[in-house]
Amino acid sequence: MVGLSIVKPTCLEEALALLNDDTFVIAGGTDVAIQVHTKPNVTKLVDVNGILKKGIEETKDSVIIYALTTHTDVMESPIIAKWAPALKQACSQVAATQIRNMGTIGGNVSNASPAGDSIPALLVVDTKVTYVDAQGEKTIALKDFFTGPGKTVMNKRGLVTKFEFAKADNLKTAFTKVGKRNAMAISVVNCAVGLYLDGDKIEKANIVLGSIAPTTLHIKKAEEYLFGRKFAEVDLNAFWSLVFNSINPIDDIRSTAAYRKQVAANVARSTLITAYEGGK
Amino acid sequence: MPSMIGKGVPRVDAVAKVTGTAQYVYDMQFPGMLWARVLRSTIAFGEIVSIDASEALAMPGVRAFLTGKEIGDDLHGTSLCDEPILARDIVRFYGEGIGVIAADTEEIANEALKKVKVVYREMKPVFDVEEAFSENPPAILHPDLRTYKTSRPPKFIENRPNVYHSHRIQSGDLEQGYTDSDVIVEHEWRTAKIQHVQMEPHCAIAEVEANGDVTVHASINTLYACKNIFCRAFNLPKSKVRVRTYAVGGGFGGKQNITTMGVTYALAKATGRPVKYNLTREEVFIGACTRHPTVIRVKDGVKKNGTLMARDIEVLLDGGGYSEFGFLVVMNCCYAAIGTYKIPNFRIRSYGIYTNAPICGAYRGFGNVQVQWATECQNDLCAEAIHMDPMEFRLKNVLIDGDRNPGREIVFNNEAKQCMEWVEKGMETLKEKLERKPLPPNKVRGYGVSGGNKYSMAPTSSMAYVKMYEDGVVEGRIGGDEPGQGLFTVCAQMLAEIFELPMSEVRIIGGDTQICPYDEGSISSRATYNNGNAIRLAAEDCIRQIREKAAIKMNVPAEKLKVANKRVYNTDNVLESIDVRDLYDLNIMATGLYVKEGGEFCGKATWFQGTCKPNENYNSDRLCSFYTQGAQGIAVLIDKETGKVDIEGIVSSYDTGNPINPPLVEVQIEGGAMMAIGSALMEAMIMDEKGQTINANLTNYIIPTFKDMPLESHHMTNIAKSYHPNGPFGAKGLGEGTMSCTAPAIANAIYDAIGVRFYDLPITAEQIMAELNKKAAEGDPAKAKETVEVREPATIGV
Repeated sequence: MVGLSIVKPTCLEEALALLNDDTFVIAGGTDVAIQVHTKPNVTKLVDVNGILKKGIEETKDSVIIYALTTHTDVMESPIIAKWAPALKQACSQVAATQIRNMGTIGGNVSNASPAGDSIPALLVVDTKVTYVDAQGEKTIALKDFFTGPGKTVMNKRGLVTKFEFAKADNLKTAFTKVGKRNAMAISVVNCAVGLYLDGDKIEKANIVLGSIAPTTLHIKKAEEYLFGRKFAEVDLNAFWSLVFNSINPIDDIRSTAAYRKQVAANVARSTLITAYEGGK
Repeated sequence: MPSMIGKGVPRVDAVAKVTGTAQYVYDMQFPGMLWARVLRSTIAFGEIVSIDASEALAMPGVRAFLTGKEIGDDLHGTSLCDEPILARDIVRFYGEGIGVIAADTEEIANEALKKVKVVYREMKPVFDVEEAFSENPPAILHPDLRTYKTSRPPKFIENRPNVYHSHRIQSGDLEQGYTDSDVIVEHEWRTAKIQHVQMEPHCAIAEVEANGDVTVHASINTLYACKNIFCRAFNLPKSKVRVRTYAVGGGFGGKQNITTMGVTYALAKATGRPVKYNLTREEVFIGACTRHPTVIRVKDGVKKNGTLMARDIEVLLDGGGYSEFGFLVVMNCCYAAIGTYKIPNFRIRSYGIYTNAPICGAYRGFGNVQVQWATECQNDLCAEAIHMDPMEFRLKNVLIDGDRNPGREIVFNNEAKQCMEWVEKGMETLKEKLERKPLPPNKVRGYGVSGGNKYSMAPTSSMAYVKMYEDGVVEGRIGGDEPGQGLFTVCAQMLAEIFELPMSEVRIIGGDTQICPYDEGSISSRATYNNGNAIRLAAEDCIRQIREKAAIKMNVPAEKLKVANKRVYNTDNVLESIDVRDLYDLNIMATGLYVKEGGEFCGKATWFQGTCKPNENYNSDRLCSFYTQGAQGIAVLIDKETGKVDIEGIVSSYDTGNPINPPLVEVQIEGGAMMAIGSALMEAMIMDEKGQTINANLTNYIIPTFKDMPLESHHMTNIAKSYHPNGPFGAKGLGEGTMSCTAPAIANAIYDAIGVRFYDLPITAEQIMAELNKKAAEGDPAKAKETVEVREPATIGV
């Protein structure tokens, strides 16, 4: 930490030019403040406040969340409550009030923790992420953004600028977090479910689990099983088994592989039910 | 004036703490001050062959480096002197301090530490307490144990070289007790290694004057104990050493060692500059002290009618590398088993055992919480074995005044029965509230109860000064510590009561050995009882002086005079009174008042609490100052899909004598429960195979937050009606007892919910899921309906 400097660039180009393996991008700083202690190679913090945008916008067909939007902003947004309630739930369960006031959505996603809470909730509404790097601006599906724990396609050389997802009247979502306590907890397992419905028929399902693999994961077999099925005809035990057999979590300091595997399947099932019955 | 006793006045330090002006040593800096960082070992057990700090010392800004040998201290301890400030030849746990650096900034010191080269010769360590306890342990931590200096003779065990102390209390005839019993209940119980997680990490600043006078500013919870151990370690005369404390950000027993004082003093002496050492949060886990992990075996004999006939307990305390306050824990943990229940045939044996782990010392409860984890779960198992309600079983065996407890003490001021009866009723109310709403799906609820006690040490003493200023304001000076529990507030209330003054006209000064008299520290739940009595006696002495002076002035016999609200009254004629100012004379410059004869109105007193000498079985009429008694009921809600336990409701009743400040008592009870929820469900320090603590941080060592507490409407707290005949205004103590009931009540509630009995703490969601799975596999659908079935679905879409 000796000689750690903070640089405040005045434009995107200047910020991008500063990025390398030994820099951290800092926005709210809630992850970075801890990581500077554990990553001694980092000598420079690049402050993106003032460069990137903050806020939530609604267009005719979509919702846009700019990178510097805080978890509190998301929690309190009526637009999010209407179009992505799982994201509201996820952000409201991140850490505690002080951290939600500082931590940004752009930061939570860029940090690429497999346990990040906003990520599964963004994935189940089919979010697209826009980022800039030396080659210019790119927009890709968020599910293609993560390459490993702490790693993204930006490879520490880019900045996330915004997220966008389509407004869908027929989409119901829900989110569940399993942590070691009721606040300030890193998820042992988290889960978001998104169901695009035609009446009681599932047109498309997104079943996403966090903290059970190197990146947040779509459970493809479970999604395929639900595809085109009427909810009443869903065999919940079959669904459970598909999830259970699709994942291969590990033991770590927070929990065990066996626990994660079973609980992930349990919460996937209960979140599916919540999304259908109670979700919006 | 309305009485100040039993009144919820605001804390005397409330404004300073709320506005952030309270001074903590962690934030303090002095001109020219250097920063210390400690070099820590990277092996658990071995010899230090060499330490080369030449590269570090060559760095700009580095002022000194001292090895353990160069610190220049004698081995220290609370009774057994086994501990150096820093390791010298032998390292006994991973992370033990082996050298210390002083530099201009903390950052430079950290960088310099990386440049120090250490060569070790590793030895095979022992981590498992039962292996360490054996007659042929894989490692002997202190081969010279039997030659160490002691101030109280340790009871070693022949052929068990890692036992640094043992203790036994025994009465009746165990074998006869078991013979007379209908059922025998025998189990083994365990607790994990946990840490206090005080909000302010440990820290100290030392200054050495040119004449050799030493001042140490430290965040500690035993002002005089730390001073005395420090002086003995460095052979310093008591008059040359001043120890000061300020606002202390939490103690819980964990701020009683002198490591920070020792390294800063040695460096200040070496450099001639003030030196500060702040532990990082990570260091607090390994470089301060922890609670003893325990293995506890209990064998109970009960009659079908519910009479507890016999109880035999063996306690193995995993002490870590050095005995520290753990020496006393070995002896004092035994009181847990004699404090609450009548047991005609009884034995408890305890052993303090060295292992290659961070030091274990005092932690809220001093071993008693661990012992009651075992005995209070056993009580439920005994009740179940004879088909009796768990609280009925406790009430059948509870001690009442006039009984003799298993240590043969004469029981007095014991309101355990009252507490249990209150909790029994309170639980009915809680159940009624909780069961109004249907249970959420996949959730199951359970209720559990526990009793609990905590002795307070004796013999013990406290001293106080009480002085009246010429404006009538009264000041008390005590050596007792204020690490947050409210001692200064309750002592100020006592002064206000005695002098009949409002709270604004009294104050308490503490935390400075140069101006405050001797005390034995805010430990053993003793502060209110002992400091309060000293304040009371010193106040009476001060009032005696005032009345004697006023008697001359008013020409009324002193015994007819009363001091109240800055005046002295003739009790025969209350219209006859004088202002306390009139007891003073005006000086010749007409600038101030003085007392012409006899000096200032300044009372002083010693309060001493004695005991009766124990016999060879450690039986005596009185072994302790008092017992705090309590009972608690807990409702848990368990999620069968995640194994997560939510504490839905807590019903507590504690007997703390007559409460001086009831709201402070209530928050202490609730805080103790919260700390205990952590120990029951979350907290455990985890060591890898090399002995390194791998979760020494607040990301992975989980403690509860307020979100883990029940709703306020489901959290009922009662203070039992009680009056201790020797206590100041009938008060006794509270702090530690508040942790005694919670973990067993939770475990008993979990058993009620899912039918699974847990024997080891903490009880994690992972363990609950594993046990639910086992039950499901055994085919007990009633208890575990919702567990998993692993099979491929018959049809897979697409």
